[in-house]
Amino acid sequence: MAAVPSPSAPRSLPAALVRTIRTDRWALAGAITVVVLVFLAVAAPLLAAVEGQDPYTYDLSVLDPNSGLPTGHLGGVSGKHWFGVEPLTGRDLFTIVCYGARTSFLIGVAATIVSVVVGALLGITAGYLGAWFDRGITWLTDVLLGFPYLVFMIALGAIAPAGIPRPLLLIGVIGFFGWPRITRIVRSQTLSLRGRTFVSAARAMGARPWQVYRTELLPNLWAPIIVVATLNIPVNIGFEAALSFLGAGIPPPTPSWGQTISTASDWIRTDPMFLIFPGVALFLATWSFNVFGDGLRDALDPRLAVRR
Amino acid sequence: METMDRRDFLRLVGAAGAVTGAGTLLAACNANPSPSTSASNTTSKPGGTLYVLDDNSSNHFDPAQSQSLATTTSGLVHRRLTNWDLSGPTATLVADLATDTGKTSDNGTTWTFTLKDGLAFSDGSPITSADLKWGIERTFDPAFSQGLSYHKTLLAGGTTYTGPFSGKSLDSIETPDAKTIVFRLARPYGDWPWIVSLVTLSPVPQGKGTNAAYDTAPITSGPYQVASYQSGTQATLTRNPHWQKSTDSVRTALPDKVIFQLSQDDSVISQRLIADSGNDQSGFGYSFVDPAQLAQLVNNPSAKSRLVTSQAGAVEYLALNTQRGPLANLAVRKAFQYAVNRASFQVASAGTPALAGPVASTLITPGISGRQAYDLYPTNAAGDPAKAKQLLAQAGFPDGLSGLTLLVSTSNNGANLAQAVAASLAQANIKVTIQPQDDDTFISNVTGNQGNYDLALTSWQPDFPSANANIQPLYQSSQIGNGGFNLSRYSNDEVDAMIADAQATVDPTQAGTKWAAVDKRIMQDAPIVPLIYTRNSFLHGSKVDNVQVPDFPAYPNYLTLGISQ
Amino acid sequence: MRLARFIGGRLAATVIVLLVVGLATYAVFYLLPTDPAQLSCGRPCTPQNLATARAFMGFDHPWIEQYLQFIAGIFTGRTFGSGVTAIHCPAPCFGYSFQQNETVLSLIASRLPVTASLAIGASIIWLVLGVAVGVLSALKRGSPIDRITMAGAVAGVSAPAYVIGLIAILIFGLTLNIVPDNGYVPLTTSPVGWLWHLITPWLVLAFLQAATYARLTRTQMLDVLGEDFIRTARAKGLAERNVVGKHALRNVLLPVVTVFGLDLGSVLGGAILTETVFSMPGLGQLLITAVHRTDLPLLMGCTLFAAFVIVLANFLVDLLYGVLDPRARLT
Repeated sequence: MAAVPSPSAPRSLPAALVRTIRTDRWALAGAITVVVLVFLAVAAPLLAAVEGQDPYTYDLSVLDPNSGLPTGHLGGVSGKHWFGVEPLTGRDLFTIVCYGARTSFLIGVAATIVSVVVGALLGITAGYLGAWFDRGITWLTDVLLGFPYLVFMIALGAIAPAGIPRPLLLIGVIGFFGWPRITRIVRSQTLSLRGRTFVSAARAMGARPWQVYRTELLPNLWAPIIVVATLNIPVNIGFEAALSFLGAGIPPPTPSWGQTISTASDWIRTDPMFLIFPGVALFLATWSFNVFGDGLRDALDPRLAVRR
Repeated sequence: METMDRRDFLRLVGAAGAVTGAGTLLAACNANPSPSTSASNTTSKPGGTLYVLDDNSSNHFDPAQSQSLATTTSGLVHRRLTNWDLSGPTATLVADLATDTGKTSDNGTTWTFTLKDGLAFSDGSPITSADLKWGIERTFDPAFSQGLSYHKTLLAGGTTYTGPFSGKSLDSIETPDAKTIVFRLARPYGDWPWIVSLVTLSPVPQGKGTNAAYDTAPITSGPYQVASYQSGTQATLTRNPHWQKSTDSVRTALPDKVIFQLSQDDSVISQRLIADSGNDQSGFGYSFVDPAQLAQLVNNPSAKSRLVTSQAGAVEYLALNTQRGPLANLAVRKAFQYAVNRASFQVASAGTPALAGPVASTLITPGISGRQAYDLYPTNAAGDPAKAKQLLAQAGFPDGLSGLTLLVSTSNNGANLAQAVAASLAQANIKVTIQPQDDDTFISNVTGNQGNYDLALTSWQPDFPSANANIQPLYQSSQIGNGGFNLSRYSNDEVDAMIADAQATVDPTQAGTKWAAVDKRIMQDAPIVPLIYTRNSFLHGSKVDNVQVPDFPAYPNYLTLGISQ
Repeated sequence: MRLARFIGGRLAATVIVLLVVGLATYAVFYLLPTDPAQLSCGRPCTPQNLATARAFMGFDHPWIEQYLQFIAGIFTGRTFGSGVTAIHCPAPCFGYSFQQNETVLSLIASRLPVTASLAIGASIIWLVLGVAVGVLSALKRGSPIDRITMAGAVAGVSAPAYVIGLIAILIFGLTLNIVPDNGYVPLTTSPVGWLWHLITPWLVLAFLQAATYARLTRTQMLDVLGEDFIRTARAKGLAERNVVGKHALRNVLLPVVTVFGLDLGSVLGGAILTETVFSMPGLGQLLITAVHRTDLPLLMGCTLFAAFVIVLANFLVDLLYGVLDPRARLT
């Protein structure tokens, strides 16, 4: 939710980061979780090697020949398969979750960058220039926010020629539908900055728009943009997972949490652990970015801080 | 008749309702230990209400718009000249409205049928040859383009005819008297008696069926009529008082009422049938029981006893696009025959080979008369990646193949099946990229003119039980692109000639021999990798009797179901 | 007068937004590499049969023309085909689904009760719960209650609906076996069954959404409590109940109502996932089926309907602003 730091209390970002981590236990927990999940993603091949498995190889020997379910307890959890195995294939769930983290983070973060770059540029420009440009952008954001965009994301995935790599397509599509939310916030921040004396002064002294942009606006907008970006990452991770859940994400066999959760939902009666592992991973990923982002926002704008 | 999405197409077209069969078949099949409740015809007496738990939101009852199999939904309400007898090991043709299965005077171009005595529609009017002619002519109207269309190109003059509503009639259908109907075809066609068993060739009282409402309130010739139809919710069939059992050897028509409960969710259907309470005891599931649901049944003897699995079914196969790069090379296509791990494919499709279906090696499926079993590329179910690598090396690809695209429809678990295929090909150094697509996108791509794919994973269920329907649509060169289902884009003049010859053969035994030869000849060119003959599993309530799922079609036979009282 | 002009202006803007959304929908789906006539081409499909089907369904014209026909149909109704077999779709015609043999409007009408039951029930719970928790949290700022509820809220905001939905099914439906694990029973069939099947989806949706409202309410409440007029009210010796109830809450409700309107509008999008998880035959499932089967008319109808609800919600929110906040200018 969009309570955004007021620019009245800008603080330096590194200072805010340190302060957040030191004073806010929840944000610290969030930060640690983010680091752990990023480690899982980055070190996925290494972890797979340590475990001695990979997310692609079928192994029928770990399945019950009568049903195709994993043998053993908790979905086949064992020293060999730390999170158990997938029903019907015998593929290793731990490596699937690790490699799935790669997909989630890659797409979540990259789509956020797209949204933030587009959204911030348009937001600042609209807020600063005002007039017809502002009205146009505002209208456009209204229209886009009025779209049932999940449907569009699915459809766009179907339209795109097979030649376009799917990750790139997902990043583009999720990023595209994300910018209006960023634009709204950045625009209102810019509007309030524009009225401030230091900006008016710079303009009065004959600074070019680009200079005002760079030297007066951007430095004061960094903080809110970073917060918005941090809070946008979990939203986009959620979108990627939702699209994969609905079968419109990264094509198999590349692991993706949403896809695994979708398959697991069929097996909820007979193999609930198959759902629990990727489900918890997805939840932790969105949760950790949210609490960390909250903490950051509170640090940058103590007025709203949730004291814990 | 594609089986490509056997399940889905049947659903879409609202064809079959699904009765789950419990059955005899199953009993025979050790895989599925369902002690057949079913065989007990003895308990079946007329009466009761049969419930069909259907995940479709609509059902076509207008014969011109239906694609339903002869022995499922449409068979309950519409009779045709001929129909299918599914009681034996292979489906056979039997007379329905006609007195026999048709006579030809000139080796397959002209076909004559005579109607039985005492036939009447649900409105009481007698069924005449003029009504049959009208029913068939109607299907040519542009409003009914979605119905089965085999006859439209076979009847002389059919390609330019646009239906009877503008006052024109189709001259190649003659009705010399009220009981006789004569069809003149554009070319000799031995399977015409099978074609007239299709729902689209059902009678419609002359002059009736002029508006869209006919789809939900048709005048019927079968044992049931549509008493009410609430779109998206329920369709209720009650007895047709003018149907006489004495004229019909195909249908037992035991239940007094058949209720289709529409728009039901798949998993909800399964859970209801497993619970087996109230009206659900007299119900069966329209759709296949999926692998996760099958796994749930393992420890539930009651539900397991009410699961019926066919012994065979549609052939699931990997089409190799013979017009693309390395796949144009026969040696490469032969390598694929050994590379595929059918064992993991079986597990991926149903959890266990017993429920998935036997390993396939022929194009003609079990249950079709004339089929001869053979295996040109014998290997064990797990495949032989070493041999595949060796064949690839001999073909000039010592490092294997990479960058191949594999198209698959996401319906019916397709993406998971494709992963199993891709994983096994990888063992033989064949790297493929899976492209899962929505079903109609998939169909557009594989039946379109471009052919921009290397491999396609699908299956095919014929619309009528003839080897012809198994082979011609998939391997004749005229079926490449333009909506045709020759996914391998396989073109061989010799095979085309053999197909034309077999199609023109009237004697079923002779034709069968010819089709078996075509089958083997095509597999020598290895345009596809046959994977399994897909077994379909259906669940039914404890009061539903005589649920039989034959090899063809691998759906319950609705026409002979009963409710134990 | 001012009100009338405001409403008129907003209506015009609304119509334009809808037209643009419709146009974009049509364009995007027209570009799909799929032929909407393909599913209406009987087996075996011949090029000739395909062309016949396409012409009958009106898909043989350029897309912009098809779109204009669609728009015109809303006012005049449409007829597909000609002669006695023609299919009529009376005004207001939002298209005809050839795959389902039904006008799009009646399809939407048949699915709407499911989605409406889900959305209205859940939204009442989440609004009441969210605001109550938010106010409590703000008043007890820093207390254990505040910390616990806010920690719960951030979890609720983070959790994907389908994961929580599936876990709820797993716990309450399958393990404890106290509620049905999926499905839907119409209110008219069995009120008890209706309630019973909806409890879990309501609570799941409400938990996720209430979190947002709790956070928002709390933030706004803290903001408002710090303002001069509240301090003045307190200084005047007004009872705390009055301060909170009359003065503070009124100001807090404004942004809450805004967000509520937008959320309720976009509930259809969310319904896709919720209905999938709980196997409910609502609008979300209708929409997703239309997407997967390239049922272009149905897709257009559903998308426009969804956009219409969103825009309508926006409009109502703006109107409500006038009621809740007399200072708000109608512009």
